[in-house]
Amino acid sequence: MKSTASWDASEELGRLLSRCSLGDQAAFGALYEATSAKLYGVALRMLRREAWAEEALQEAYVKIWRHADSYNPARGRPMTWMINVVRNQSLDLLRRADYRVQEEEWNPDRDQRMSGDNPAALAETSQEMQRVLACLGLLGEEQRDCILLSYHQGLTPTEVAEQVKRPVGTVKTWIRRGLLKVRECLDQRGQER
Amino acid sequence: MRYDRPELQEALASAYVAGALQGRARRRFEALMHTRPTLRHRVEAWEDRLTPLNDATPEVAPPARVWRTVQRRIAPAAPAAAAQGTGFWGSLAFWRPFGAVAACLALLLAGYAGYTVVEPGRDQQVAEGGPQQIAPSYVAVLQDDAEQPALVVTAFKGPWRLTVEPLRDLTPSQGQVFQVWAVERGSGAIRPLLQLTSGAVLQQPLGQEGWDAIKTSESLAVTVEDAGPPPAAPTGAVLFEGPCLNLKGPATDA
Repeated sequence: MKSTASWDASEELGRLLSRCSLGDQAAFGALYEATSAKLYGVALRMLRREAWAEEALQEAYVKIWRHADSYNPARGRPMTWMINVVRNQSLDLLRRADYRVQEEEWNPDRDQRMSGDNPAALAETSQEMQRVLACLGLLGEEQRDCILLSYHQGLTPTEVAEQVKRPVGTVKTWIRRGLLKVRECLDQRGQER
Repeated sequence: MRYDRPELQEALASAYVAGALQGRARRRFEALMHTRPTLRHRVEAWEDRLTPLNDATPEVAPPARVWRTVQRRIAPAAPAAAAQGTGFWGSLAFWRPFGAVAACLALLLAGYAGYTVVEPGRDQQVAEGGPQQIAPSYVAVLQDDAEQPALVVTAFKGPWRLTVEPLRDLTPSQGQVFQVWAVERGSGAIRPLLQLTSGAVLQQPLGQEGWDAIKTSESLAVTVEDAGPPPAAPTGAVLFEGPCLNLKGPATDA
């Protein structure tokens, strides 16, 4: 069963992380082996340029190694922690001015394959993802797009506003209220389980 | 304070995790998170809510050069470098990843710290007995993630004592302390060293245990913890860290 398998995998990643915090480089190698394709995928989706994604990935793993001891197993799954390390690294990179000016080098067609969900994976996606998608589904289409453009591509509210052709104030309000609605919905569904 | 309002905290935490908090607002929020655990917990809750959105993101194997670079970058901190006993200048190899500026700053501040503790009347806690040794034995400049120095810890012997000098406002919020940890060379074992309860310069005598922790440490690190006895291990994220440099050369004391 998928959920049991991912739980076991999660336990194993937790074990590897705690060995990393003791300076075990072999455990770090195994952790990289097990997680780098996922984390690189997340970085590519956000940054859509291979060189940038490589840089974000590299920074993220150095951080994971240095801060492995700050991962608290009681608080959540190791993959959640690591994905957010690479996400924050990618967002930082995206905000650096020298990266902005290279915008024209981005070839949307070539990079299209990196920017969406994997249809095969979507078909048998986790219950957790289905729950978030269902809650996002309660929002209007434009509001949902604003949140997903911000989350998956790291667009600023101004950039999102340009894409959806709405005032930036509206976009900010949509994102803020939309997320609160998602939280309410997830809390409800969490209780129903 | 404005940032203690739950609605504002929740709005900021959700925007932060969703990637909608930008530029300086993002930086400021990250700094706030370090001093306000409730803010960090809200961020973690939002990460738990939204991270499943990555479940269907395609996996892509990264090029092998990424792993090679990561390995190279984590290697300089390897304990072997500390134990080789190549003397003072050899031990400066430690400082390379932290930049020459920080190293110079460390030495300057170490000198400064050494100077101030012998001023009469300034050092009530440790002023008993004969003349104190002026030159520090160990120094660590602790930096944040952006490699900006945040505090300097200096250890002296004769008698054993520590000086902690914050380089920025390090006043913990109510009910919290900045806990300084010593990370042992080789084993990586983490031991509590001392707590900063105010943003002031701290001078503190050291017992045998504290001195041993300093002289066997590879680096020092700081986390925010609840006031009271230190936990067995850090519970918060590492805010600042830096290698602990033996100024007398590894051979005499390591």
